[in-house]
Amino acid sequence: MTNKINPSYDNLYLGCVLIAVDVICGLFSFYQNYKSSKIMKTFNSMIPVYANCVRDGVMDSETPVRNLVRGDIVEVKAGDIVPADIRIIESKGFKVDNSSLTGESIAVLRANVEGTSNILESPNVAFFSTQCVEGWALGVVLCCGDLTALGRVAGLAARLKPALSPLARELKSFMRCMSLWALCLGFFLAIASLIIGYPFMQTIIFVIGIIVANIPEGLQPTVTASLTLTAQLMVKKQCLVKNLDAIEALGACTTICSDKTGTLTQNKMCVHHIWMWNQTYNVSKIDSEKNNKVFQSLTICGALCSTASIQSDGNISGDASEKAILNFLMEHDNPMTIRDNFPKVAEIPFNSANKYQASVCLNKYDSKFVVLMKGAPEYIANRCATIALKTGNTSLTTEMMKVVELATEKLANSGERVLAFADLTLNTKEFPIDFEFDIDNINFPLDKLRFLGLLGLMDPPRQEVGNAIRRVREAGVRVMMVTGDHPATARAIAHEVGIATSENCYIITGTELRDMSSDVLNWTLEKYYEIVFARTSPTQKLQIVEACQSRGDVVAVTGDGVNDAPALRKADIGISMGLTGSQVSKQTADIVLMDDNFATIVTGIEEGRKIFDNLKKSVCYILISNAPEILPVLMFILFSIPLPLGVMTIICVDLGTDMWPAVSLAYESAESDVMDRVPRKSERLVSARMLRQAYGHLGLMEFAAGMYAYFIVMAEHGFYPAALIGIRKKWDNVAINDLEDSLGQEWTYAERKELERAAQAAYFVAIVVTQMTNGIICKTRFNSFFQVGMKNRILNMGLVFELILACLLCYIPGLSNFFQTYPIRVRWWFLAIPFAVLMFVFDEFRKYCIRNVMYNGWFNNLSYY
Amino acid sequence: MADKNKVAEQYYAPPPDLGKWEAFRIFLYNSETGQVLGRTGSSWAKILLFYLIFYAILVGFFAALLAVFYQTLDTKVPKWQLDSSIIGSNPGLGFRPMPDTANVESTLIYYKVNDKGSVLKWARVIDEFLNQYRKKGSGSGEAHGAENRVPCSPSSGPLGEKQVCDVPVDDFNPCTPANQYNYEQAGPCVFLKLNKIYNWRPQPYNNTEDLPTNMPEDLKQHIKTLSGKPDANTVWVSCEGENPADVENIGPVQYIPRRGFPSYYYPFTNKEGYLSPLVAVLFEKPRTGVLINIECKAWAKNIFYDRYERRGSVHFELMVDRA
Repeated sequence: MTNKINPSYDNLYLGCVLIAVDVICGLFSFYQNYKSSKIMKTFNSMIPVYANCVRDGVMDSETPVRNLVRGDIVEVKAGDIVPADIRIIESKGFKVDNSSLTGESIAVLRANVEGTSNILESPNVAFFSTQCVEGWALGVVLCCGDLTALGRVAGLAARLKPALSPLARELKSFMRCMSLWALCLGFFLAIASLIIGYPFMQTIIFVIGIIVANIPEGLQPTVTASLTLTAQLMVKKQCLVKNLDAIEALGACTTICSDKTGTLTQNKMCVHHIWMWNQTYNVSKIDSEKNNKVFQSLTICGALCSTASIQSDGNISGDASEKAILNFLMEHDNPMTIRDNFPKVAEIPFNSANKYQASVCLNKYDSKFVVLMKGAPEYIANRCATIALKTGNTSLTTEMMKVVELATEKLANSGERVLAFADLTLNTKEFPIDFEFDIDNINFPLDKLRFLGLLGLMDPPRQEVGNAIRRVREAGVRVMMVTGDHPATARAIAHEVGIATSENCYIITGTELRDMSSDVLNWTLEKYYEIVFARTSPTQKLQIVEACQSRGDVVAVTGDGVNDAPALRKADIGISMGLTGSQVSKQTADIVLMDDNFATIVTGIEEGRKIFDNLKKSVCYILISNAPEILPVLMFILFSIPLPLGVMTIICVDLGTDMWPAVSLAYESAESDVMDRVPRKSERLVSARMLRQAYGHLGLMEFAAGMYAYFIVMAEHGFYPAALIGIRKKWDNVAINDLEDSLGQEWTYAERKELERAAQAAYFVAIVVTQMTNGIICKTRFNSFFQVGMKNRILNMGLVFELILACLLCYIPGLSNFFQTYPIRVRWWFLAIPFAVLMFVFDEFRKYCIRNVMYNGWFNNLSYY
Repeated sequence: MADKNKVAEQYYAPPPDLGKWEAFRIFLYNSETGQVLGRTGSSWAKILLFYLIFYAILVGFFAALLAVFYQTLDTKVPKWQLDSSIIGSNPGLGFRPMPDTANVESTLIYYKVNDKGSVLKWARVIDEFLNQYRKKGSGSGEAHGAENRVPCSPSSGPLGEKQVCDVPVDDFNPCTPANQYNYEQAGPCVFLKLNKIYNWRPQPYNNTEDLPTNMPEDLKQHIKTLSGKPDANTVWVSCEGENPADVENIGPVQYIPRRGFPSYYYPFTNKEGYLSPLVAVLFEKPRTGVLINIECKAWAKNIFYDRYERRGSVHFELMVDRA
């Protein structure tokens, strides 16, 4: 016969619970990952990638790229991403940027020519994922998907792990610290308990208890819950979060580098001003000049030069400024009739090298060819010999050139994009009606033109942007503009949207940037708060992002164009526009604003900060219950009292009652100061302040509450605290069947163990009650509870759940045996309430001091985590 | 450009790169700011003061609450009694002499008859235990409340408010100290006591009715002889070997001075000088050289026996060696 009372069962239960915990945690994180990856999948399918595919002679511009097969004929135009590896069969000025494959951002010409043996260098093949920068091409699909050149590279890349997000890094280091601390403490207690002669098995159980008590098991679900929750919320606000961690990073973001066009502005060009010989007309007052000959020539030139086309349904499609021109003309003339009367015979498309666009048309009225040109004023003016006046044409003198330049500058300074127009009627002798115009080897004059006038185009800023930028700046986030546009335009828009608030705004052009050493750039970023980068190339955008990052900034880049893609990728958070954004930018970005609403970024920052805040609250909540779980073992060792809290009960708290409230703190809404703070730069998830608050203040109060409940239960049964100290050896000795208490009653081993269980259950209940208070305390870090109220329904349910679970654990006969609890008296539930009140009052006082920065912010330094 | 670089140098100076130990030394004591472990003296003073006050309040709060609670407790009477207390109303048994329980979880009484030392060791343990029973009066060095003890018998009337029944341990012949409690005779005495439970009253088997079937025959016989007499108001005691072999080895057993705890000792109400009644069990001739598992049970209508939880019983081992 054994002396022990079913000892094997207790340990068996513990083992079962630990295994169950492991399995459940594993299943849970699998489920969470599965769920979030499913969400990610739906996100990805929400940004479909289409190709222009010709099948059965019909062009379908909405063929999903994944439906392409070998042999399909696809069309690729400037700005498109090549949808598969294609062999070019027809092309015009088709240039691709192979940077996604080779990393070198040089546009190379590809055409239907003889190939080479090395497919990668073959001039008649364009590769999947490369971008067409100029011209267009038709091609036959050679291979798709994983078989493409990129697919094979991607196969390699997939094996590499992506870098961790700031949050993931933070969590990792926290978990490492916590585990180390738990192991050290466990080791220390193991040594101590072996020294005082506790049996080995019992020691192991202690160590397990200590480790379980210290590891914050609720953290991972909390993190996933808050990220998923926020992502779902953001989708409702028309904001796709492609990368869950990005939303938290947005909260930490210190600098936003925003593209101008399409992001800050509407990307809807409008003609604002018209300049014709020394006279600037506002677009609304041009009607008076309708019969002006120069204006008529300008309309004809504009209608013919604009590459935008009018579709049958009246919609205008094409480039923003082309559309603007056409829109403007529609109000004054019918561009369609003009186009009918002047059939186009040849066209030199606009490219960034020549900076103009020219077309040759046949004037049906007099059967003469006309060269019409549109482009940057400085280029056009240089090609002009004469200028059209109301009274007739005169030669363009240098003085007049100055006047034109001045007008251009004036318009440009007000943020307008200026286009100059010129024409030249070719004489019929040299260019008879059957003349063949060749645009590859230009056989017609492009100079000695007649200067017609200037159009000032302006892309008005989006309405919500100004307000949004003000709020972002209030949140301590610096907004810089990085644009490829003209400095003057950039400056004007910057002033309008509030990126620049004073004349101090520093404007750096691409050329200046090229000459800057990285030190000088750093110094500039340091010295000037408001900076506008203008005329920057995509590589320079990247350089700016890198410079900011090297200063330790967390950089968000907003952009919509292909040229923003590298910067979007390099940035900590890439934000793209869903409506106006290009395919590439949407694919590279972490966050896509589906409705292009810049104001969503403000929400994003708020949400990101909220996530971090709520995680801190959650961690704090979890950590607070650590102290009352660890200290009983210390009391047991130091004062030799019967163990105040068993391992099973520790597990009940950590994996049972604490779980839901900890996770539900992720559902807490943002605090009122969330947007008044500067972004966290080196702020840790778990700071010394939080540890002080968790272990030093609230944890100790909980411990006091637990010990109080324990002592009361013991004392009510006759074991007064004084009698308990030092009693441990006799108490735990099975051989002693008649241990005397302070009132002379004698207890058998089984009776005392039952009493111990009751006292431990009272301790457990005290933790539950104080942790419920803590749930309410941790709702806020800054605000008073009375400002916030009990609006978090999930948390409220969590608190009720905590209470019910504690009741179940105590009162269900099987469970109370299994988890070593005891159906305690109802009155013992109230023992912790004075301590709960004390905790609440203390914490409200602390938060009050923090809000009002009392005692020189001493409390803020002490415990404002 | 050159100018710009110059300006840059003025403004942009990264902090000097310190070695690990250097940085740690500066953390320990920063002579520039006077910081020790990252805090200045006044900062340390403030934080210590805060925690002093904070913990003082916490301890004070705890102590105050405990004090308030103590006001609700009686120093003599347990808050919860009998079945409302976890102790219940089913007393266990205790035995003496016990091995040194502080170090070993053992219930074995082992000694060598020929070894004077080992005999005296056990005798001394019993002496110590019986000491409180022998103290008389209230003089210095005497037990508090011993003057309240009065001799009781089954026929004596009710006790006074302060009076308690005496346990005449000197009459337990041959289990007397002079005789080394019969240990030397290879027939050791083991003292049994019933656990004190406040306000517990036995319901003795005072006649032959309703005797449980598992009650040993000899005890049934014994009760028969006393049935109906005042002496029958007793919590009976029986000691047996646990296993068949033990039953064989245990030999004859005597119960001194009588076979149980007379009910006039009950209830225990924490009166000063109260003594728990004793039964000395004399194992007259246990087989030597073997370990004997012995289980002693207390018998009353309101004592329920549970071997696992040791309710109403006690277990110990006896081993007497000759060599």
